[in-house]
Amino acid sequence: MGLQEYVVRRLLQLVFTFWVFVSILFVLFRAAPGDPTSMFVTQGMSPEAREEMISRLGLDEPLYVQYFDYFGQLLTGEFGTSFRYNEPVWDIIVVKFWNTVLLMGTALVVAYVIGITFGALLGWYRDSKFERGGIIVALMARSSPEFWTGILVLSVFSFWLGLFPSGGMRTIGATTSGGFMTRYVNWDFAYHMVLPVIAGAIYYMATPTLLMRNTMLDVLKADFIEIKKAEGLPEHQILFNHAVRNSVLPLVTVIALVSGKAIGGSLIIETVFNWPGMGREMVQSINYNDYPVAMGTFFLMGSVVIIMNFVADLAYGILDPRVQYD
Amino acid sequence: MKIFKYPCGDGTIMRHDTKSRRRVLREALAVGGAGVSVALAGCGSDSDGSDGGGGSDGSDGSDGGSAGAGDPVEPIEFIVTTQSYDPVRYEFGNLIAENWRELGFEVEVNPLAWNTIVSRTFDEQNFDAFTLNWAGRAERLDPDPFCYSLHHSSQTESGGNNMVNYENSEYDEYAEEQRRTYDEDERKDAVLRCQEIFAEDQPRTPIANQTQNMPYLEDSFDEIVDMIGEGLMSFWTAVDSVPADGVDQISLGYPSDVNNLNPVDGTATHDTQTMRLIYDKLVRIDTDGTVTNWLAEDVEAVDDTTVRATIRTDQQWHDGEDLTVEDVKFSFDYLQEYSAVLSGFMGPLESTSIVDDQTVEFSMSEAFAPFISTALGQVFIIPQHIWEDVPEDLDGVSEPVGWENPEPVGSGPFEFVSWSRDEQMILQANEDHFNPPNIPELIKIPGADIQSLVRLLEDGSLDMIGWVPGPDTVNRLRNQVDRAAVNSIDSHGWYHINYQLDRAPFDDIAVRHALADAIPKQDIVDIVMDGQGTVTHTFMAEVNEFWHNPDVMEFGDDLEGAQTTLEEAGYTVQDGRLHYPEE
Repeated sequence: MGLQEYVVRRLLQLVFTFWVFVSILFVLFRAAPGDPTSMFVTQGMSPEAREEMISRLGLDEPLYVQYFDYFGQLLTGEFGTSFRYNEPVWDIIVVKFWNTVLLMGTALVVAYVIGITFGALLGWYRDSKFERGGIIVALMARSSPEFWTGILVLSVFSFWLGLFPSGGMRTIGATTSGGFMTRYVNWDFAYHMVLPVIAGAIYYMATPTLLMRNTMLDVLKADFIEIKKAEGLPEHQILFNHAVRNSVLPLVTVIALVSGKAIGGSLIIETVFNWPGMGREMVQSINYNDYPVAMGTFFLMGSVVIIMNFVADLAYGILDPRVQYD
Repeated sequence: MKIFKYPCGDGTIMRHDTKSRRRVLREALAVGGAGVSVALAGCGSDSDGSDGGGGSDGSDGSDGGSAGAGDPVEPIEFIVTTQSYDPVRYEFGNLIAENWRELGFEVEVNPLAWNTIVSRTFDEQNFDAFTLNWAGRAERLDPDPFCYSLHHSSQTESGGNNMVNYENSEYDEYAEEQRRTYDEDERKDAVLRCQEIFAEDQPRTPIANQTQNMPYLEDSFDEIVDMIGEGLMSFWTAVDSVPADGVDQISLGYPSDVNNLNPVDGTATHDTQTMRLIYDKLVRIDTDGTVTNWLAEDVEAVDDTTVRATIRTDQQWHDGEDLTVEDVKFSFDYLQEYSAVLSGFMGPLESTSIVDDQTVEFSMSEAFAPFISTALGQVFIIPQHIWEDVPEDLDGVSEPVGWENPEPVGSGPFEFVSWSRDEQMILQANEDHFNPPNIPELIKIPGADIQSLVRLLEDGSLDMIGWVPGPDTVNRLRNQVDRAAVNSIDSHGWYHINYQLDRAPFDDIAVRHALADAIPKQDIVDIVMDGQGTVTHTFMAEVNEFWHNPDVMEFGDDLEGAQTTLEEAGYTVQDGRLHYPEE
């Protein structure tokens, strides 16, 4: 079977996956208890006002009608209008999307660059004190809850040393409107991003470190490494040009999965650092039974995972010529 | 099987005596004889057995008698909030359950997410007992919301606030009377009676009013204004507080952002709390709970069904257009038609008409005493020149309530400047207003949670927080953080327990009295709330002085009394488990 046929088959699977995914989303959120008016009951919303809202939102229609409506909407690229914001879902998500991607993207890049290097060195210096110590550090970072790491980072760098702000995306009163450049490309934003990136990087670093170390151990036993050593190549050249390149493959799959996480954001980091991102938006929209926003955010996050998996499958074939399409 | 009711008419005098409760019950039992099921909620109508919230022909399936004479009392599912939603309710829920178990009840504490609680309780009315807190908002200082919509028998339908199914025709009469009586003292008498009957029937057990402790930076203010129930989140804080010299920006944190700024919507409390700064109302509820004239310079009840308001002259909208009496009439007409929430505040309003270029007249179909505080104090005055074209002018909006209203134009003390959702909202003082605020620029900062706001306050970025942090944080801010101060004011909001009166054993007033007595109210205030609250026995809080009835039956902190109450009603404890009275 050739590459072309493989791609076509995978694309068809992709369509099926999306259909199942969207249907599950729909059922999940409708099955959740309460409705979009629940949150407002003790705020004084009368039964009449609640009924009116439910019927205005079309939630009194039979479920299958709502299901087909939602599907039709998605097919035309529409996510609908938020129940509580009165704004198109897309306008809300797109802001949160950038807030999150910039934060989590940076944290993950830092985590993976450091993690891969660190993991490679751990594998290379097998059975040394450095390796044993390194594994302990990696496991500690992995097992510390994010909120704990976050608070620790905050108390040291913000409250003790006074180097960084304690939260938010920018200084209070700073301009927030304008295009992408005015919003994100400035020192104030970068300055506010440092601590959450550190907290995130510490947490996400352990996976690439340990995975890298394990594959390195296998690769280092391979004959070609011995041959390179026999050729008399310098150590760093063998390590980075040959061993690391061959060990990095399993990480491609992990990166595909983790990128979904980058879009979904981290509820905990966003909460600790008061960062207005996707994670918080998801939880809030679920609490408020704001189905369009909830489904929009999950749809975006799930789509990235599905598509990145597809990309990873294709990338495997390019990175490793031994992979067969069948 | 006999259903016994309190001798309502004769019991009047006794009810004034808070200590005589047990005596009343004993006498009641003496009259009714031993071993009868006591269904007492139904005072006032002595012929209709179903009046007491379903009496004992409740949902337990037992036919017509005390719910299974001699049988063990059904286990109680006690619904509380999750710890993260409200630690206070979660913790006192467990304390109370402990005490109820001492009485022989089998109690399971079930913490649920808020929207699950709402659908189980308000919508399905499928619960045994659950905890709730009605927050103390300015418009709830008027007795009508707590008196009528919580306890009148017309409010028992699904979704209504009387989800406990409390039905008492005598109570209903007084609740209706306070609605139609304009004379404040007469109205007060009716409200006091409602509280007496309520306390005696215990369809709900009030526990405590929570003190509002809201942190702020001392150096940012020369004077800070607060309000009963709303603390620093009040309208008057934003308008009348005086910032310190050189402070031209005050930032106010709140643990979530506004949903939208559409005055037709007005569903979320936080939204209306923000919009009331931008939009004016004819009257405002003052810091002490009284009604004060605002955009109206005079309000007069011509007769029981007619109210006239004289509007201030020379007022402008934020876009420079003149505010006229037509705008006022338009606001009431428009919001009555399109706003489900605000039209709910208008009561029996039939029509609004213009008398002269300064006066509007409101005609009602029946007398409605809360009209001035509730309708005139809640309905936003919106500009006709903007809203008359909504929705025709706007793409994709089928109804005005769905409009985004991206740049709200009002006439209020603050003008809208900009808003980035979940980042900040900037409002600036309207210097041309008849009551211009002292704060030149007010920046609203939403937080992920209260702790992230407290950290911002501690590092000096926030000037005040419109929310109550946990007792530990309050103590730390008070004693250990130099520049932080904590503003304390009582609230008329009340923590309480609801019982499903349609179900056994809650249909038995003796059981409710015992459950109420077993609640360690003082411990809850002292320990769970760290002293930041006041024990309460009624729904009109002590701090709401004018309407509060200090002289009602008191329950709580009396486990032995609770045991006695159950014994006297014929209940027995066998193997640690409470059993219904034998036939």
